[in-house]
Parts: sequence; structure tokens; C-alpha cells
Amino acid sequence: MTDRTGLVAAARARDRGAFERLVATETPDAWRLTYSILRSTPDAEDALQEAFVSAWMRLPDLREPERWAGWFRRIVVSAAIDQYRRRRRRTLASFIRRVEPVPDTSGAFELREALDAELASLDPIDRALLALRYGLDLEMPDVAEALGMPVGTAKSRVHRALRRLRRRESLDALTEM
Amino acid sequence: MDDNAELEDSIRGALRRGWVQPPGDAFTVRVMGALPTGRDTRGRGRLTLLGAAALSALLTIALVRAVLHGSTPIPGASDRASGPGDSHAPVRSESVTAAPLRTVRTAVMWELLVPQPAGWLAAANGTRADFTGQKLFPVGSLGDAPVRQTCGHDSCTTVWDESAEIQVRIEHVARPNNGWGQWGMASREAPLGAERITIDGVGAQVRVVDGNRVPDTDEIVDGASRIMVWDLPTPANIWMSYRITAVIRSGGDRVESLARQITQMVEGIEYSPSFAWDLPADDPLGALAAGLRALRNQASRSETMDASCFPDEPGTSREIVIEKAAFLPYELARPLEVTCSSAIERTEFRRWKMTLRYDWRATNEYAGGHAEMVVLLDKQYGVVGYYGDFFGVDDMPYLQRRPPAP
Repeated sequence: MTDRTGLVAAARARDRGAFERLVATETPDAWRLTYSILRSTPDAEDALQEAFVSAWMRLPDLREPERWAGWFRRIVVSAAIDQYRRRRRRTLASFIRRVEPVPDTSGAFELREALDAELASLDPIDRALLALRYGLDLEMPDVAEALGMPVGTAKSRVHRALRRLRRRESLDALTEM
Repeated sequence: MDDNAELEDSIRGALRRGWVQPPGDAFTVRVMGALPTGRDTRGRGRLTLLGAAALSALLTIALVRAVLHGSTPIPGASDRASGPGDSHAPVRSESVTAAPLRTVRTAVMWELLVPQPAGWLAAANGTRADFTGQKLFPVGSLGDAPVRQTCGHDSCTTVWDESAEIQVRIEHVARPNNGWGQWGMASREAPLGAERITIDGVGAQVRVVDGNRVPDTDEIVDGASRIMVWDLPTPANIWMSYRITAVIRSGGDRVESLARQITQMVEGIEYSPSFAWDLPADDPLGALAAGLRALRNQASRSETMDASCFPDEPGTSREIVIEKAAFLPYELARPLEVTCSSAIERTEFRRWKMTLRYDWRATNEYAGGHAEMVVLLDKQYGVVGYYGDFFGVDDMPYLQRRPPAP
């Protein structure tokens, strides 16, 4: 049994101390995922908090603590997508303004900004797909599992998202660099 | 580098460029402060989150609580968790009568035809709700009581305010841990206290709890004397369920009467259109052979997966030394002597369930044990979902999860 599995088992038995350690352990990876989807620190924090609270409430359902990783990833993705949808309703303009400023070291800031904007315009599920596949470099079965969809569907959606991004003029310029 | 690879690299860079420092200890404190404590299952921080989550299922929970706590206080309602041994002050409402069911289907919610108790006034009149829409229709109203309905993107709650004796919530839920959709119900044991039933010929499960704590969600519904939760699989998505939660906030004989009504209502539900995954024939040998063939095809495209050891005849086994396992995201670090066996069965979810199992004997290096994979097959014997549900993989010697691609 790994340390993490032990923590999950203890947290499942309603050990808050164990869950606190789990939160601290899981935050960096889960943060990267929520941030990749949301591109906003406040939104990513809100989504991640919601994911942890949801995980705590649902932990008694997790009868196999060793399955925590995939189980929790699904909760995180779901929370991020929910947060993304709520934010989209708050207006797209405010979202674009809330994209974190990124230090530019290569002189290609405009193109990067364009790519950020194009990614931001994707459907939240497509955005999550790309975040899981390319942000976290997960295999497609794991990507599909995180989104609760068949592998074939995940692959075709990734393919469609790439095709859509490629069609944008700004990205044509980017790939010619 | 081809165009796709360039684009993928650009996306990879764009996503990672923005990664800022993960939140630190203060965030952990914030999360812990938001966790539910004691009987409050939502917690302080949760309330804030729920305020923002206007259309989420969680808000539905909050609104139900708001209805029950705020606008419709019930005499004798309890504010503490209670169990079968606890007593409840009976709540009588002369305006509510026990209504028999009639067979006319008057409400359609998502893909469900819901029968109406005769005394429940139909509000939908057969109109079909838009699956993706923001508006769903109430199951009905009871007698002359006003109906209060709260609907979100994927859930709908109907509360009868006058008596508040029955609360029905219908949700379309994707649950973690593979859920109680077809997948969860076919491959896993029923949760504690659940009874496996069939509704419209399709497998489902029901849990009945005397008390005020909702199974799974741990919501506390003040004053509830009985809570009943049904999980019905959705036809199209094997991980999702329709969940119907009925709360009875009454006492005495009315509990049984109301429980009978709601049970009849749920058990009378029909899928519309009907569940579309009928098995074509009772042909377990064909199903197993086709399922194994599909898995072996999948394995042929993987460097670490092999499903060749499993026999084509159910109930038989084969002793062999394997160098690869059938668990796709895993790989064997060393060859392992195992016994491979196969099983196939029809399920009430109108899928075939294929179980592939490894057994290994104890040696000086490891304990004996077994691991298995459960795979659902559709009517064309295609593998449903991704690569199966795994059990016992952590116990399997030399088996390790493949690291992510560099």
C-alpha cells in the first residue's frame, strides 16, 4: 500500500488530518489541471476547492482507495468544467481579461496570446481534453476516463479540436514559426 | 516535424506556460475550512461556492435545503441526523390524500416516462423536455398543493409546499468511481443496503433509509422520516445514472402510504425511447469470442498489453507464463506465472459482461492472489467504454502503471 493509498483510506474513514495531508499532496498536480482548463488563478482555486470538498463528501463511496487518482481526477475535471461554464456566463470579455499575464521570453507574445485566446474559445470539454492530453501528457484512455467518455469519442474530439485550431489564421502563423 | 506535431507542441507549450506556482499552505487551510463539519454536510466555504454554482446539481441540494428550512418550516422537523431508532413527531396534513396510481403516462423527463399518481396533477402533459435545456417539467403536483420546482442543467426538484410530505428530486448524474450507471451496476457489488431491481426490464437499484441522511451524498434533510434513492442507468452513457431521491417527511401510517405511492411511480417508469441495447441472441460463446477478439485487437496496437492467454471457452482456464498483462495502462516488469480464465454473462443492463481473471500462486517473492478485468460488450459485441474495470491490480506481482509519455 502506498502512502497516498493509506492517506486515502484514512480520509475515507473520516480522518480529517489525513485528508489535510492529502490536500497538500494533491494540490500541485490538481492545480496544474484546473489552471490549464481555466487559465485564471481565482477560478482555478475555486474549482479546486470545490473538487476537494466534493471528494471529501464522496470519499465513502470510493471503496478501493488505490483508485483514488483516476477518481479524483474526474472530480477535478468536472469541477473545472462547471467553473468554466459559470465563468462563461459571466461574460467572455471578463474571462479574457482574467487570463494570467505570462512573462514573454521569446518575442512571440502576440502569437502566444492568440493561441491562448483560441484555446479559451473552445468548448470547455474540448479544453479539458487538451489540458489532460497535452498539459498533463496523459494517455488517451486516462483522458477518456477523466471525462467519462469512450476513448474513441475522446480521440475524435481531440482531433476535431486540433483541426479547429489549425483553421485559425493566427495559428497558421504560429506553426510557420 | 509534421504539422500536427507542431501544433500539439504549441498547445503543450501554451498550456504549461501559464502554470504558475500552485497555491500553498494557505490554500490547504482554506479547503479544510470549507469541509463540512458534523451534521452540516456542506460547510461554510461550500455555501459560498454554492452561491456561485447556480445551475449545478449542488445548488439543487442547497435549494432543497432552503425550501425545507426556510420557506416551509414543518412542525416537528428535526435538525439533527437521525436513524431508524429515532422517533419523529408525526406530521399530518389533511389536504394530502393517498392517491392511487393511474397508468396514464403524463410526464416525460429526459428519456423517462413517469407515471402519475392520480391525485398528482400533471404539469407536463406529455411534453418532452429538452435534454440539454435549462427547463424541465415537474413530475406533478399533489392535490391542490402548490408545487415548487427547482430545475438546473441536469437536475430537477419538485417540492409540494403545502404539506412538504413528499419531496422528489430527479437528477441526471455522472458519479465518480465509475458511477452507478450500467458500468457501476454491472461490474461492482451493490452499495450497502441497496437492492438490485429492474425497471422497465433494465437493471436498477434502490436504497431505502429510515432517517434523515441521504445515502451517498450525506445530505441531512431535516424532519425526513424515510429517504428512498433509485439509480436507473442511462441508455447512452454507461457511466451516468438517473437518480431519483424521494424524501418522506411524515409519520405514522402515512409513511408507508406515501412510500408505496412513490415506489409505484418509480417502478412504473418506462424508458422512452426504450433502452436501445437489446442483446440479439443468447450466445455467450459468440459474445466471449468476439469480446476477446476485440481486446486482442486492442492489444495488438499496444506494446504492453496482451490478452491472448484467456481461453475462448467460458469456465475453462489456462496456466501460462505471461510477459504482458491485459490491463492497458499497466505493464509487467517481469514474466509472471498465472492461470488465466474467462467468464461471460448476460446482464440486466442489456450488455454482455466479460470477466477475465488472472490467478497466481504464492512464491517466496509474493503472496498468491488474483486480479480481474470486467468488460461490457454491446449488441455487436464491441467493447463498451474504454478498457474495462480493474480489480486487484495493485496486488498483482510485477505489475506497475505505465508512466506518462515524456
